[in-house]
Amino acid sequence: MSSFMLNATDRTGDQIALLVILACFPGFLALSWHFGWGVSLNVFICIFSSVIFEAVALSLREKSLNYCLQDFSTVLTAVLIGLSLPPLCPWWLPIIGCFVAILIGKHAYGGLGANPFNPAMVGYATLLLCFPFSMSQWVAADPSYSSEAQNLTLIDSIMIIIGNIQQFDGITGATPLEVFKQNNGLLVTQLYSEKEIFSESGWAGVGWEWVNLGFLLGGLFLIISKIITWHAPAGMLGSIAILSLVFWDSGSSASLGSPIFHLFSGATMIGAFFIITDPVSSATSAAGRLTFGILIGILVFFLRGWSDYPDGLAFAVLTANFIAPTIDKYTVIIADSEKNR
Amino acid sequence: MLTIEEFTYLIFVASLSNNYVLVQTLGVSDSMRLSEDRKAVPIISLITTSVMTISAGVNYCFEKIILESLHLVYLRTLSFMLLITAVVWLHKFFIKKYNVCSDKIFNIFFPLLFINSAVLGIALQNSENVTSVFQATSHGLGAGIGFSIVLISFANLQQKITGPHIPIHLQGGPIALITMGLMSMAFSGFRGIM
Repeated sequence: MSSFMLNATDRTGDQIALLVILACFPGFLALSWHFGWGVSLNVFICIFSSVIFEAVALSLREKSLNYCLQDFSTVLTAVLIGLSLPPLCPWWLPIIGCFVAILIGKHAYGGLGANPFNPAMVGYATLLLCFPFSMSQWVAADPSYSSEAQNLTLIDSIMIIIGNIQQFDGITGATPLEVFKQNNGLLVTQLYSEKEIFSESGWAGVGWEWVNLGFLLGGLFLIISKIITWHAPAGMLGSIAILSLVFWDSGSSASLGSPIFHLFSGATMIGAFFIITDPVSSATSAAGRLTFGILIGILVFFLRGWSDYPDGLAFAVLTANFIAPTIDKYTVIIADSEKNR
Repeated sequence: MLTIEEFTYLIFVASLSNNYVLVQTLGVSDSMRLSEDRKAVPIISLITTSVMTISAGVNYCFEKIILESLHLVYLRTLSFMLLITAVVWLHKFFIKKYNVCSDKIFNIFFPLLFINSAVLGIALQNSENVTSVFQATSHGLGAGIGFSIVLISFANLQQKITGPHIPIHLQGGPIALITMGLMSMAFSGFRGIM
């Protein structure tokens, strides 16, 4: 229970969760601007179903329900799942994700403050493994389609989500990371000029650069207001930047992308500032968090470059989550031996 | 001979994308029971890695040199089991002689090593997939590294998944299996690494 308040000086766990949710707002706005109403609907369904599942879990475990309604960490988990799901996905997808996240990821391990895995990523990874097709249908933000996705009314979006309108196929497209993965032997400059997902003035794909900038802004706010420490984000972003710089071959057809492309596409920024900084499932000491972040950065780059998935943040976070106690153990041993010297 | 690319590839595939415990579900019960004693885990994983590496090489040689020339390939599984037993006995002898670990660990751990299905699984996969004894041995080494990663991290996770905060119906075996399942989900991301 106390680990949620690790960084808190005078704030309670609930206030911290609330501030983290507020810090998601710039990223949420950028996502909504580029991908339409689907984002808000995802977040809404996630929050609604998560609170219900939380109440069910608490009543199964015979705990007080007041505890659930005051507790914003459930809402935070729900918001993170909602923001990472593809917009305009079928309505049952967020509900299944929240079911797995809250009941298996969180309450099977004893609820708040005891979960070894990040609940949001447990839910997301389950969806990615069980429904790979629905999870890969991202709404396109290319100039040619964006008007369509942006101009969908709220009613139309709801109709698409509950499956009454089948025009969904026309407005989906590949994400920048997918384009890079299946580049068909094109040079990077050709990719940037031919694919509509990259605009001429942009650097990491239409929409995605602004989404990541939004989450970066929110993350910096969290660091300035001392809700999270800089260690884990710095480790992750630093190792991604260094690795992509080492593997950057100035744009051949086998290129994995430039550092700036990796830092501002996919789930890099929301992962670095909002997901891996979860104090419960990450390492505890400062050196441990830095190692934790570096490990996730290496795994993310590795998975983006060579695995079947275009963005492997969820798998990287889960892998690092179960290695975190080991990291803790060895960083403590090293710190102790330096103290005794 | 073995090139450095082949070696790295085999180590990566056997330890991460084809991890014997988490992806192929071989030796799950062993890794769950062995990880109960946190202090003994490093030495146990070292011995298991050694057994896997040596038995992979020995089994491959035995199959190619003796079984195939005598047309006795149908005795493969049986002879692999006998050879694995021999390799484990050899380890047992050296461990007793140099007193590497305490008697308590020794008595719990060695019976489990005999029946570790991952060791047999490596030998059986080697007989179909690799082309030289060097490849067979490095595949065994990679599998051992993968097994050690799971064993050590699971042993350090024990503290988080035992105790009164776990719901009463899930304490013990169920939560350990759920945790193994989530770890396996994490490793499924490494699928398709070439």
